[in-house]
Amino acid sequence: MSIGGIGGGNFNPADLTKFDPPKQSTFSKFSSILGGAASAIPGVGPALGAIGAVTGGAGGGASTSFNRQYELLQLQNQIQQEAQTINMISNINKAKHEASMAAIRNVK
Amino acid sequence: MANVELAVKPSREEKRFLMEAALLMRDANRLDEAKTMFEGIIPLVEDKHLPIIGIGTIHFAKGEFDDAVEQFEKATEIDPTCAIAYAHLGEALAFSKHLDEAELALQKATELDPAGDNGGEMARTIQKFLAYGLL
Repeated sequence: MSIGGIGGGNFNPADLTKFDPPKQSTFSKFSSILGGAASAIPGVGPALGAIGAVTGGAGGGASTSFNRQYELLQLQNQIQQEAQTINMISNINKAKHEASMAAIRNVK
Repeated sequence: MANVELAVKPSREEKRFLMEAALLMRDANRLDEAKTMFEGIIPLVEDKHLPIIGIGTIHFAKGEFDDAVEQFEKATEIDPTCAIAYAHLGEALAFSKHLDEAELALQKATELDPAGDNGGEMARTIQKFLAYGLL
């Protein structure tokens, strides 16, 4: 599920699994900044910031790589769930606003 | 409410303006002023259930869910065909943990407004929240 509406771009969490961090330090910094920038959205900021912590670990053999992929998938899942919750809250606010506008329209 | 002859007879546009102003006041978190406005609007309008719904939403915003339910029930008694009132009633019942009654009120709202323009969509959205166990 795309969460482009939150980040403002066309970011797809599925891309996270394809992403290979070029350098530990660069990616960790990037993720921390991303987490900080998204901290205005409840839950999403910490989750994005945590990506840096997960991918920032020392690289190693195949099992480390597998664990990293697995943790990324878990984070992706968490982000998707949070995005879905935010989307639902946004929908209910929109529906409530429209109900208020309907009340105004109906006044006689 | 007062059925006295009013010295001032506002036009429909003026009544709408007053309702919108009260709702804006509510959304600006000036809840007591908004409530006073809604109370003042009641004798001015034919559809008295609409400002009563407004008063209910103020109780809801304050977390006074039982008082909100009382106002929304009053609104449904005045106009039993108002889906907006049932949608708000369902929401307030859900927040006061009367989930079965909430579901009935929301169901009634969607039946009254299947198109969703007058509260039906709001009821459907809250029903989704209930189905996900988020309320």
